[in-house]
Amino acid sequence: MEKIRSIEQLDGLRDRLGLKQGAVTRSLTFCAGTGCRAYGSMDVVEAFRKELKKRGLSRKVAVKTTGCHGFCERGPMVLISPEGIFYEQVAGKDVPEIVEKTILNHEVIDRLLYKDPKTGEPVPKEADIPFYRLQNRLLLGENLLIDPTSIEDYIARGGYRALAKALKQMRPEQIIDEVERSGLRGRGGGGFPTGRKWRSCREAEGEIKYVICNADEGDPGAYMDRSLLEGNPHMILEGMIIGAYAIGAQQGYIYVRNEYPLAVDHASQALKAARRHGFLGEDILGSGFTFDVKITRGGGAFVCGESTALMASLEGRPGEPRAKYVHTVDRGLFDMPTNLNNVESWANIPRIVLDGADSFAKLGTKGSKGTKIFSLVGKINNTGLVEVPMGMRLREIIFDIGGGIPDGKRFKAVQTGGPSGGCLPEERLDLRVDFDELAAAGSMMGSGGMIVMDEDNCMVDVARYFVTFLEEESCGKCTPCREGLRRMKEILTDICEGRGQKDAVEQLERLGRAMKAASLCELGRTAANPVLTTIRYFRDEYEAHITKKKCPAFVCRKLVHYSINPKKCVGCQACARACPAHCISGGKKKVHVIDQDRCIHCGSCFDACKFDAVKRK
Amino acid sequence: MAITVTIDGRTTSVEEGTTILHAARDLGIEIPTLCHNDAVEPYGVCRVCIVEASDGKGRAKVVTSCNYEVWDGLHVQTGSEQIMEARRTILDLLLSAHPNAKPVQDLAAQYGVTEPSYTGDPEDDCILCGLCVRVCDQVVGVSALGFSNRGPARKMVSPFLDPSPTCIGCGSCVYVCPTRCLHIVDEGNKRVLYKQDRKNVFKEFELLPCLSCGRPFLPREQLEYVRKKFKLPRKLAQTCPTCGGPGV
Repeated sequence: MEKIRSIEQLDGLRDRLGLKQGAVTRSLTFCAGTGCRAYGSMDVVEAFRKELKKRGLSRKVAVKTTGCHGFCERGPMVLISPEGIFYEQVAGKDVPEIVEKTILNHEVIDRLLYKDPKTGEPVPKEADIPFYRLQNRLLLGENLLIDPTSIEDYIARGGYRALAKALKQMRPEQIIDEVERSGLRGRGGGGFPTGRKWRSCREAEGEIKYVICNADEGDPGAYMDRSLLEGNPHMILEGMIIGAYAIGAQQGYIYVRNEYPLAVDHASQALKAARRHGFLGEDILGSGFTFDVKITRGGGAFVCGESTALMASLEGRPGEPRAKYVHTVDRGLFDMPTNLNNVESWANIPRIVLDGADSFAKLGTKGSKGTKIFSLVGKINNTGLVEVPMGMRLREIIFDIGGGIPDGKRFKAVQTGGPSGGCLPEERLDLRVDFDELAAAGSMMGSGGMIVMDEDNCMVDVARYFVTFLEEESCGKCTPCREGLRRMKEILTDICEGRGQKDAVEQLERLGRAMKAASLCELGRTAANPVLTTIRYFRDEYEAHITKKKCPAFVCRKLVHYSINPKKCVGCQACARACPAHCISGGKKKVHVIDQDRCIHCGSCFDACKFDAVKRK
Repeated sequence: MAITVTIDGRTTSVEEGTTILHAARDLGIEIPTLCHNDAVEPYGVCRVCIVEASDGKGRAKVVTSCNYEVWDGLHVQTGSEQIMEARRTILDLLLSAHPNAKPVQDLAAQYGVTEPSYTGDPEDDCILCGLCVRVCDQVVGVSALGFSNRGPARKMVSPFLDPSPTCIGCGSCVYVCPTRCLHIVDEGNKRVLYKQDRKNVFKEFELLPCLSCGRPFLPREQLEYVRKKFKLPRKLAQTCPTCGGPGV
């Protein structure tokens, strides 16, 4: 491969690739993101390849594997172009039928289509599925169109055109102006204006400067960054190269957790391909600018997502944060000016440079521009990744795109912003999701996690879960975070197990205030959020646990009491068979009794009884 | 360049690069600390030295005075209601975890905390201030101590819980330990470095005798390290201080 030296050369290559791809009339696109792979999508892909070969169609029908499409609930999936037909939950056995009917005879197979849960009607085209239709997939949409291991795919979609424009037609300051004017704010959680960060780093004194891509995504249930890096690594890389040019950095790092093997693999392949084409290395695109990127694999500590801890880890020291009174843009990695941005922040850069700040700023709210990717998980029908303009109401995201709560259950809360975000109740569903609104409600944007909870979730138990996670992930360096989380966990455990003291809520609030005010890093400063917001919005649940010793959601086992209603029990023995503690007695067709002393309050009998004879209170 | 800073309503002029802690001391304003020692770089982890910093107009933010450098026009409140409450909570947390650590007891008492709110380990006086780790690294230069685990499981240890190969038995760590939970004792021709009780022995050393009086006084590791570091001749470093030798 000859290195690309000019815009004309890049345009020429793109046109040639476009012609080549345009020559293929039909194609099958498969999601091969981590979620769909777990569903067995690669087996389906293999089955298609074999079937097409058998029928001599290999040259006429292109098979493309891409990164995550976001509709993880319905995988494995196949998208048939040019018709745009979308089949969900496809298995190997469906393959011959799809080839026969849809590919050869243009027939749609109803059975494999997505059914609108409201109308029950099948939706043949992907574009018409509400989950996709209501989103604005500026970043994620590209995932469907490119094979992440093919730089050609990326170039054919206009990839590296923004880099060429930046290097050849813009001065570094102009790029920074454009990014600043776009209103882009850091997508990793902090929400700091990206352009301003770049400017400070450019103006900082230092012979060597670094840029870092923070791909140490560690929130439970969140995988936005993973899916971008797996699905479109060149977009992130292009953003980094543009950023490095604007800032004046010579070296970049992608810090990605080792638990993301596909992301590591795709990013590594992207680096090699970019070097081959002259997008990385010396004299990039003949501009005289030299820059390269290395991948560093993190060991998986949550706290390493904090910028100073990440840099410490990158240097080979323990991943512990330090005070940021001296900013990392002045003295960061190896004490040199360092600009760190999150995966999604970098991914937005090529578009801003290519289409201009105004086009980006058209979307969003006053203080938060552009789109944001959320990972919508928990008690939600359409589990997956959604990308929406900033300012969309929580209700639209959860009910219109997410399809609401499964099994007709009632929505209780949504936790935004990762483990140290807050839990927002039903009254807050009309909140417009942006950095400032979430913060005002006591939660935060974080990196975009969204965990939906229904009536079966106990909010005290949820708070305990997140505090336990954070206690394990706290580095332990500073007192308020280390000792505060430890005591919060003790208090919450006591509450959940019926030992809650009268002043437990006041104690939690007092600890929360100290942690918020005095912790060293943002992990500690935000760690009390799940506790403080559940107290703020669900205080009655805390009180029920503490004063009445009851768990209203029947989650906290020690507070739930099971018994059998003799009037309803038919003696079917289902509960006795289900009981892991073997503490239910009573023979066939006889009324059963639970031995309360041996009962472990697991609820298996309640779930097993078909006659509504097991009571819980 | 001199900088003007106002602390608790009193104004002073200090050199650039001065921390709030030192500027306050210049004014005779005492800010409590547990993990600070001027001999080493500030660490900012005990968090009892928190103060409120602002430009005198906008909202104040909470910073640690031991590592926050003053700037011209800075206003500091060392004892606002928010600071006092947070400090009390932090001291309560430290006293709970380490009920027998003397300096924690004393400081907590000053803030009205005499009974800890939670139960801790009466046999663990190490408050993880990191002074021993820092002095060993920054002053002695051998980095023989460190931390293991994270969160509440964090412990100050010798690497991999083995006798540290780089420890020279100098006792600097013992000297700076604010809670006196590190100990170094000489027993005959043996020196032992341990934490809390003899169950946590970090390292044992064989002591070399004084060439003049014959009393064992110097760990071999220390002799070798000092000789190498200061390029000393062979004999000079082997007489004990009592016999008029330079010792080490």
